[in-house]
Amino acid sequence: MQFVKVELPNSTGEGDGGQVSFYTNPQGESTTTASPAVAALRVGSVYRLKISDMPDFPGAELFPTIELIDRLHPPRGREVEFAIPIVLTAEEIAKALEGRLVTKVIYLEQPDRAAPVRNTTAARNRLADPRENLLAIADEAGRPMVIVRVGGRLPDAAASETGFFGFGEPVQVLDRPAGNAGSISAQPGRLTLPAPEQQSRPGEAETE
Amino acid sequence: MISGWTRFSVAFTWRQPLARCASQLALSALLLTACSCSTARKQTASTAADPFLKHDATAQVASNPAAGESRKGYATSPAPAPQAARPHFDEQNDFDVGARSDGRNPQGGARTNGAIQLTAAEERCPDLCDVCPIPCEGAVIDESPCASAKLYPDEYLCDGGDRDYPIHYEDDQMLGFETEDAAVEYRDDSGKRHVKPTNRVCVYSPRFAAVTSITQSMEDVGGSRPLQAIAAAAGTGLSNREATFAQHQRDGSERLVTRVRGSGLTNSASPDVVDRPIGIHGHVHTTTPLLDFAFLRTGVMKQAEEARLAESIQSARVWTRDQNPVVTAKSEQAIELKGHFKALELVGQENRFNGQGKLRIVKSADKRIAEPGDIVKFSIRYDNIGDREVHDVVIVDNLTPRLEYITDSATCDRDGALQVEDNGEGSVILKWVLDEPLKGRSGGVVTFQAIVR
Repeated sequence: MQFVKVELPNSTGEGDGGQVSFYTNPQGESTTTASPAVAALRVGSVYRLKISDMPDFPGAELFPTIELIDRLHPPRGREVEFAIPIVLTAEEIAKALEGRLVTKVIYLEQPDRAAPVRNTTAARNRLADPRENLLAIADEAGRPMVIVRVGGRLPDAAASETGFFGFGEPVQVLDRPAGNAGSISAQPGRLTLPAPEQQSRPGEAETE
Repeated sequence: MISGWTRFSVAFTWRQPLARCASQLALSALLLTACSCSTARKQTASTAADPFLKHDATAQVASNPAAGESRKGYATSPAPAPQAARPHFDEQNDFDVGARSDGRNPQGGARTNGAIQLTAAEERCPDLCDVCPIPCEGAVIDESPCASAKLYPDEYLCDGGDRDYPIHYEDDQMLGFETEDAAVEYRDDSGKRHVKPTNRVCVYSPRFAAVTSITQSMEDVGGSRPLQAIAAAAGTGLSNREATFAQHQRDGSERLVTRVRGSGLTNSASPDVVDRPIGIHGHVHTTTPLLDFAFLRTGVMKQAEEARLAESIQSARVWTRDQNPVVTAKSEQAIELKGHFKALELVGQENRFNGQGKLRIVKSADKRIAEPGDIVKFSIRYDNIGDREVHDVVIVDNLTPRLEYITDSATCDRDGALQVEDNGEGSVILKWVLDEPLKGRSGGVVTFQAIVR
């Protein structure tokens, strides 16, 4: 399992950026949480999401897919802190609502090829030509991790039969936004973080 | 450390019966252990200001007025504290200019100490060890950052060591000093120049980026055509031709046919004087005229026959052999033999206390995990573990592009100058040039801070 963090535009961590739903079975049952939403997904699977209640796009609902193709290897117990960020910008959502298909490949930068700039993950988004192979570009610059596709497709009556909501791949949604260390609980569908004093592991993050 | 004791024990065991091998090996191990212990005591007691040694209270660096604060600050580094109860110490190998050392243990036994990878070759024992601790034989999963960074290097931000092209000199110009590299260069008392890279410090700090394309959906009215994939793989042929290994030997027949033509001589003498005529009916003279020598007949050699006789004797030698000359023909394929010889064992004894100045340099970071925007403090500890002083000490660190040096954050506990140069890849090269020679058994520390991009 690999943690991902889905972040919608204008998400301040207070739940004002919108809602993110992870579908847990082919019938369309989902687990919903506020943006930024952190969930543990299985590598190699394709997940269907629903993003809604976005302040900048009132009434809009989109159903992007997330294809997790690789994982990280953070220190033990720090998996939640290093969730793969999936940032959807306002421009991308607007294009999707216009009927365009937005394809995004998120990759892990190769350190020696990283741009020597100080910025955030959201700013490190390059718009490529539609004729370019995104996976090839990402593979050249680092290690592709996630493929995100956002379009205007909506579920129809036969969605459960066609696998629109996926095929029941395992997903565990974190109850609260990341930022504190946590661990995976045994309860399916939901994750429970331990108390803050139990989260830190001595000797792993010595600061001055 | 492979010492002379090791060699002695192996050679001695070879000459002993098998029944005594076990006892001899045990004796050798005991001698080797005792040797290491005694060596360790010397180093521990005499090496000053070593943060990785248990007893560094008598550090000579403390005599430096500026060193006190630095040592105090450095003591907060996370590396020494967890190691206090586990007295395993490692030390880097020294090498001359141009030698390859990329932070890996040449013996394949690199150990890690928290965020610090110790590229050492020798374990040292604590001061009061009567019996040196036996290394754990069980499988240990190394979860240190440097061990994980080897497996997943793109998830870690590393600095220090000597990656890729080794540091070397060409015409007094240092080459191979790439980003992430950190080293110290100095001259010993004989004027010989040395370069020694630091260990490699790794911080878990993955950074992501994205590439996006926006396309317009298009109507598909043509249907899908079957895709055809033709895979034509040429047959791979392997021809192996070996010449026939043939040997021909032809022996001639051993039969020798000699034809001697019989000579006929008919003597018909008229019976004029003899009443009873005796007619010689036949006389077969089996000797050819060529052999009609007086010598053969009378045994008296005449000088006139000497030449002919010699020729006949030679002919007789040839024709009396019972074998014809044998001709043997043998054809064989040429066989090429190549041999490669490798040294199976190198036995050497390292004497690190021969008086020559020698620097040891260790780099450490105050964080094992960092996110973009975090500040990481790096410390580079240098020690002259030799007896004589070293000159022209320069500590250089080429920062990786993801590390942004914080201006005026560099410190040094000795007099010198700090040079900050652009490394051409978006970061800088920090260079501490010490003014004074570094005496034996002394050391210091330089620090700097950087922001993780």
